[in-house]
Amino acid sequence: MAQVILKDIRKTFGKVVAVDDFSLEIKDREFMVFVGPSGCGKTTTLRMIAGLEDITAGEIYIGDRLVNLVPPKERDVAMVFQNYALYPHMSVFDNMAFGLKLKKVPKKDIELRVKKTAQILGISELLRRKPKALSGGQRQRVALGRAIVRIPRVYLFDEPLSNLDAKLRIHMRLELKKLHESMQRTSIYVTHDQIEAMTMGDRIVVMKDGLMQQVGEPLELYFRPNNRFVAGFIGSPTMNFIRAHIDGTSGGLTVKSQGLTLPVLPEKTKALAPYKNKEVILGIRPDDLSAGKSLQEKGAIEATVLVVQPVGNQIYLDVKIGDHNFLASVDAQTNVKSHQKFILRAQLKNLQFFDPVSEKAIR
Amino acid sequence: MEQRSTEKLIRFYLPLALFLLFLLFPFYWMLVTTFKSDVELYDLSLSPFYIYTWSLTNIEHLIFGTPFLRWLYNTLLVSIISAFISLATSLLAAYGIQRIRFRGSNFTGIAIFFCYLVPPTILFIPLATMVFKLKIWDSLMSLSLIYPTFLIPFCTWLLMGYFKSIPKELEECAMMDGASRLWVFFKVIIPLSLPGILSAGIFAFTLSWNEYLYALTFISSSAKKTVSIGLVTELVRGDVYHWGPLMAGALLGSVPVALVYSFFVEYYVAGMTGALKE
Repeated sequence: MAQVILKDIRKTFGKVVAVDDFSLEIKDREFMVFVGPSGCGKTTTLRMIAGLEDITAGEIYIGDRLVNLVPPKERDVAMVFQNYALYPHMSVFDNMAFGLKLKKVPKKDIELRVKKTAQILGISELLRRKPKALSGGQRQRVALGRAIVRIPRVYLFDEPLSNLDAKLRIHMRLELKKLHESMQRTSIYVTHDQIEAMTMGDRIVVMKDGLMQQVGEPLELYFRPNNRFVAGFIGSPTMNFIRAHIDGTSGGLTVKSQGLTLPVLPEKTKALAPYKNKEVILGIRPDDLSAGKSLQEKGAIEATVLVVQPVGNQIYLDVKIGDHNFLASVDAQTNVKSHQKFILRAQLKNLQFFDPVSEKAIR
Repeated sequence: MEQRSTEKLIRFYLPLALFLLFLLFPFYWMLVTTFKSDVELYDLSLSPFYIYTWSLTNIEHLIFGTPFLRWLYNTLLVSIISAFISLATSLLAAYGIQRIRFRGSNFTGIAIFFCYLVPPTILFIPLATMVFKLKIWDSLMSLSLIYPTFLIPFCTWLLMGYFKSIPKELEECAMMDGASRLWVFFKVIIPLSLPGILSAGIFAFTLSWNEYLYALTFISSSAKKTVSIGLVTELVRGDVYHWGPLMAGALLGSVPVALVYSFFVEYYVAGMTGALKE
């Protein structure tokens, strides 16, 4: 068992608080992703787990062992760094064998394990080369190989794909996921890319300014974000936010803003009742705005198209609704031109409401 | 095309040629003077730029008439020992200041730098007292121990710059792989800093080789002199300059340094630019 438990972790650099009040239980064999904008404390948290950074307060357990004061080499974790951190003066083989040699694994076993790992990663023919003779993708594989050949209890990944080009990144994403499934080890993965987080993570931790915003499964974050930040961070293109007013009518509640009136579905009425005649922040994902047929439809909004951006499988529309700029993602077959009036239909069940002050989700 | 090559000639080769002339002329002068006989040297009717009849008398006089070979050996010994002491100390100091980041590491770095700023012309006074009290006056030991006082600050700063260019992740990764800090230092840091270490070493060696003031102050017996003071104290007698042997000594004395530089010039450049190429 190698679960990783973080209890009330806090880290300060001088007066700057990098991570605060961070508690999390990462289950054995789970693939956990830390995601957030740069400077949110995700890498610092990872480095604390690795033992590369002291913990100001709190406790970290790996397996059942409290590791606060355990040096990195005794934690039995392996880390893949963003810049790969390959030893430039050693061949690929020696890079991969480095950890095993230190552990005094017999020479024969080292050779066997390195070769097997190289085979899994498709770098068998590169073993004699030096890192400088490798492409970015190959270096990435060697860095991965160096981590997995040791078979540690926990893998730590610090933005391992961010130096690769877009195409290779998608490919490596898939490989990493496959690798995780075959290795069956606890993995913690740091990234600033929410798509990487969504596609790879069993669970995701969203962080901002050193604080955990939400932890959950990818779709949970997507459909039930805890606050405005998570709602805006997860999902691409980004969710539209506007200030809106909750009105009470005989038939229930409606949410109103300039140029748009939408009914509130009955299941959300209860949560929104305290906000009757008050302001809220309304969030609508671009994907939840599709082409509508008539203004009489439920959820129909009249919009003026500003810019049409076809991306192939979809068309992104920059539209104006009242005074607000919105982004809608409509079907690729939709016939639409800039500057025309256009009817959009909002997916009412996916509307998100946030408190205007605390920005927490209302539900 | 024509115009560009003319432009290159004027803007590049011409200044380069002038510069080379300026730098190399003293060596040429030394060479010419070395291989002339005194008769030819002092005959003002002859051009001073040519050697009309080659002669080895100056070299002969230098080698057999003075303890020049002894001085050469002394200089070599002192330079190697002080370069070695300085390198060993600076490696540890630079690594500690740059990477261990202990409380006061920045201050230590700056303090070491300040040592470098104290001019030897002032420093030799207290050093003289120390050398005297340690009873190492007039010995090569005194120089071997004193040269590091200006070599260590220099080497430490050079190596600090070099260590800075080595990604921290390399060390972190090694430590997670199970290496101790000492192991990381010897197996990762040192191999990667070879260019930096070499240039620091060359610098230390050259500075010791050329050192004049301390050698002049602390060494008095002829057999313990280094080349730089030996030549001027033994070949300039009052106002009589033995130009021939003097130039021969200067020429032979600069050969080892020139050799060291030419062998390691590539590392030296890499070390000074501090670039670690993956």
